[in-house]
Formats: sequence, structure tokens, C-alpha cells
Amino acid sequence: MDSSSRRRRFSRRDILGIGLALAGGSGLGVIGSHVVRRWRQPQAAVAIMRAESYDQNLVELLRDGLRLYPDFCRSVRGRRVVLKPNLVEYHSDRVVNTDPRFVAAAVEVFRQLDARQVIVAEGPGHRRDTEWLLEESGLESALRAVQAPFVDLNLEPLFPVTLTANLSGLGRLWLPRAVLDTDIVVSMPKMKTHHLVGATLSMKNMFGILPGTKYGWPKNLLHWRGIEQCVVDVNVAVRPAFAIIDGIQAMEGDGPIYGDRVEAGVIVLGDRLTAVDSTAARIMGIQPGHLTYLYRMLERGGTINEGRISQRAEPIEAVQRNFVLTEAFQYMRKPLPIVDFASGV
Amino acid sequence: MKLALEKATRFLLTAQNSDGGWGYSARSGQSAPEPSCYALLGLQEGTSGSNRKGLLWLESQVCPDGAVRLQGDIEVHWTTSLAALTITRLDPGFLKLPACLLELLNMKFGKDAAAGWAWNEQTYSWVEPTCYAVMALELAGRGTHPRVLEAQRMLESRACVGGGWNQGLRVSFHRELGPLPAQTALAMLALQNRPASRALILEAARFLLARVQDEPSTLGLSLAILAFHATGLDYADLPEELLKRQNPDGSWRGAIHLTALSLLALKAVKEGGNGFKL
Repeated sequence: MDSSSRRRRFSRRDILGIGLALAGGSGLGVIGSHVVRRWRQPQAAVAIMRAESYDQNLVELLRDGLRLYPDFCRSVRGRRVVLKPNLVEYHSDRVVNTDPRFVAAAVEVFRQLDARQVIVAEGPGHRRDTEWLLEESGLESALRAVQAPFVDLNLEPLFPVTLTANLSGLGRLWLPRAVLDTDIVVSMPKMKTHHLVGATLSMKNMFGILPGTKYGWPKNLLHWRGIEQCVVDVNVAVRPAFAIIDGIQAMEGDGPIYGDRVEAGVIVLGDRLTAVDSTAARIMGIQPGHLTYLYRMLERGGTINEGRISQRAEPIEAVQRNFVLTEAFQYMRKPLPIVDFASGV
Repeated sequence: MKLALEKATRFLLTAQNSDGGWGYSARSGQSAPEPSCYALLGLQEGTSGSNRKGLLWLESQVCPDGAVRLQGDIEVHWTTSLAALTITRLDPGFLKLPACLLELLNMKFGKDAAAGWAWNEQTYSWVEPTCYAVMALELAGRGTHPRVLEAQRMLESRACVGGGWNQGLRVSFHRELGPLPAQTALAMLALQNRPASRALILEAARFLLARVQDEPSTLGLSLAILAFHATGLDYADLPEELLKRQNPDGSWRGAIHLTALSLLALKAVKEGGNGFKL
């Protein structure tokens, strides 16, 4: 067969046809991937509550929010609950930590739900001096007022837990007894931007349960193994049952410590942390698919797709405001239409 | 002060676990190297029954290769330095001590760490673990080892602008970071015998004295007293301040490591013995 006959076989129309077929096939593949990956994400419900200040009746507000989750509320009865706030550093002019009044209100609400015991626990990852942090931040006096115990997770007895996700390659994590012995872990982060991962919300907040006595101050080994990978590992290992994000006053810009205060006036809560964080990210003007630790949870039962999250109380649009992002994270504003669509985000 | 020391001693002895070690709190039950080292140094009675038992527990944590590890862990733990320091002070003839010191000298840090010691092997080096290692090796007579000298230079290079030290970063994300009391005191202790560091020590001491008096930090206050004592500087009324913060049960905040460090600091003031004086 000569070359001219080969050319005849693949006319322009043929090539166009093959091109269209390939594009169509890819398109079908993308659509198929979207349908499957979206369908695989469990349905979730996230509540957004407006809260203008910490002087409001936070107990009532949080109780109203939790009542939107009757199954979870029933599960609290008679159980031991660990509330894990974000307590990492203190600067009087910045809103670094979960507000102590917010934490104390949550203690009261969980008691009202007939929890057998409510403990507030954190392993500060930046400051070794927990005594100083507790006093300066006001958490100590707030907890004293509601007679709630605080456990320094940095100093607890430690036990190794084999990692099922093991994205970090660590094989296992050493976890504190107070967390392992508890029935229900509730992540209570501050809504903040983060100069290493984009945003720190309820999943990243769980980093704080990893003890300094093993991982140091700061928890440098975990940074070396990949923050996102370790965030997934610890969340898969501990499976926190609920998240309550303090976004009444939040942080934007150079978070999680040196960012600026933003009066976001919002509380985000729910019983599926990936969905809660996705919603909080959308409120902050961040495309959740860009948060690598969230994206990686898609393969592990996470829910990110807005269509799979039913919004309770306020809609996102009512409280949405674009948080200031540092230069390095400007890209998080923009969706990646095809990639996000194909991955079901 | 005598009564305060007695009460603190009694608290520590009561909180000792049946295996001989101490946890971070009396209710912990699980012995850990760091509070055990401080308790042993604080009690300073190498031959008494309790201390002997505690020392035996600590020595049992030293693996045949000289490293201290968490039970069931394969990684070398940063408290290897503290164990070496404590054993050198209380039982210098311990058979595995040379291996322990060698392990310290061989401990690896990550590629971009200039010098010093890390919390975990193969990661960045930080002020606190570096100070423990420098003190342990200097006390054991290895103070002129190149790695120790290099680590001391690293500490000098990481001093904050205006004096003092923090975790080990002068600048992070283009932002100058300030000093912290506990890390400042530890760096002063690690550099106490280095004439070249004297100016940095004096600068750090000014920061420390101004800061720790008003701050709610037993850790900072007790380490500051030990640092002032070891460097021959005036600690003013810091011991009185520390005494004021003692709980009726003899402890400081019910914490073993804070109580032991406070006891150590007050004993240094009253009796002269300072476990961190090199």
C-alpha cells in the first residue's frame, strides 16, 4: 500500500471524527468519574449559625445548633466527651485561639446533653508552656468558672496506634490516653487562614492532639512528613464525632498566628468534619478542593461536594465573605472546573 | 523555704510510680524520662531508696545502643540527652553511659538543619533539644567535641534580636520572632561556660529578669533561677516569687516536672547544688 492510499484512509473528516470521539470519550469519562465520585460521598448536614459577638447567649446558640443533630445529641448521653479547642499561642491583639467563652459554653451544653464527663483537652503545638498559655488566653479562668477540667495532651501517657491511612508513612502515631479513652471527640477550632496549608479548620485542629513529648515543640516531625498527610492520618485514626467552628471572630491573612482579626460572625457545626470544613472554606471564599487534606479524605469517606451537603440554619451566601489570603494562596479562590468536576468536588 | 522544700520533696516521693519512675502528673501512672530526670536531679539523693529505684528505672530505659526510646518505639527519643545528663550526674559509672553519649554524638538531623539537635532524628534542629544535648555532653567531659562547639555556635546564631532565645527561629515568614523565657534560660545554661557567649548571656538575662517576674510560668521562673545561678548572675527576688506559687500539697500545679524543676531551683539557691551547673 502506497502512502497516498494511507492518506486517503485518514481524511480530514476521519481525523475530526476520531478527535471528536476521543473528546466525547474523555467527556463521558469525566462525567462518569464525577457521577461515581460524587455519589460515593456520604450525604452530610452542616449548620451555619450567625453570632455577632461572644457576649451573646452562647449556650443557647450552641444548644440550638446541636439540636439540629438529634442522633448525635442522643449519642452523647452517658458518654465521656473531650472538647478539643485550638490553643496554640497567645497575642493580646490577635484572635489565635478558640475563644474561652465559646469553649465554656460548649462545656455547659454537653453537660445539658447528659454527658457523663466533659473534658477540655489540647496539646499546644507552638508553646511548650501550657500554664502560661492557659492563664494568658483566659481559658483557665473560663474553665474554672464552669468547673471543667483541662488536660494537657502534650503530657499525657502515650500509646501507639497503627495508621490505616498512613499517608505520612509513619506507620503509627503516638496518641494521648485522654483521647484514646474517651467516647466522643469534638473538634472546636478557630476559623483561620494558614500560611502552610491554606486554612485551618476542624480537621487541621486535630493536629493538636499529637503530643509534644513525642513530636516536639513545634511538632516538626509531622511537618517533615507532610502536614496534609498527617492531618488525614490523625483524623482517620481518631474519627472525631463532631465539629464546632468558632468563626465569631476569625483570622485572615498570615494565619494561623500572625493574621488579622475578621468579624465573621459565624459558627459552623456538624457531625461530618469534611463537610463542616468544606462549608467553612466556602464561607471564607476558599475552594475546598484546594485544601489537600480535604481532597485526600474523598477516598476515605469524606464529603466535599456542595450538592451532598444539606445546609441547615443559615445558607452560605448569607455569611460568605472573602477572607484575605496571602499571595501564595490566591489560587485557592479559583475553582479548577474540570478537575473539581471529575473528582466530584 | 525549708518547709517548702520538704513539702515538695514529699510530693515527689508520693507521686513516684511503683516501677521507680515518674510521669508528668501524679495520676499519670506511666513513667516518662523527662519528669523522672528532673525528679532525680531535684531530689539529689543518689543513694536513698527512692532515688536509687528511680535511677534504676531511668537506666533501664537506656537501650543497648545507648538510646532512650518510648516503650515499643523504634525512634531515638530526644530525652536521651536528659537521661545522659542525669546519669552522668548521679551514676557516672553506669555501664551503658558511654554508649548513651556516643548515641547523642551520632544523632542525625535533617538535611537543612545547620547544626545542633532535633526533637526527632532527621528533622530540623531546635534550641531546646540542642541545649539538653550540649549540657549532657559538656558535663560528661565532651564539651570540646566539634559537634558540641558547632551546636553552641548555632545557639549563638539563633539568639533573637534584642536578646534571648525562642524555639529556634529568629525569623519566620519574614517576621522577626521574639524570645521566650524557658528557651532563653536553657540556652543560657547550655552556653554558661563559653566566654564568647557572655555578652549574649547578659543580654538574655536582662530580658529574662524583666519577663519572668510577672508571667504565670513556673517553667520559665524555675529555669530562670537555675540559669541565673549557673551563670553567677543575680536572680533578685525570683525565688520568693516561685515560693509564692507553690500549692498547699507541695507541688507546682500538680505537675511532676514543674515541681521537680522548682525544687531544683530552690535547692540551688538555698544549698548551692544545681543539677544544670556544668
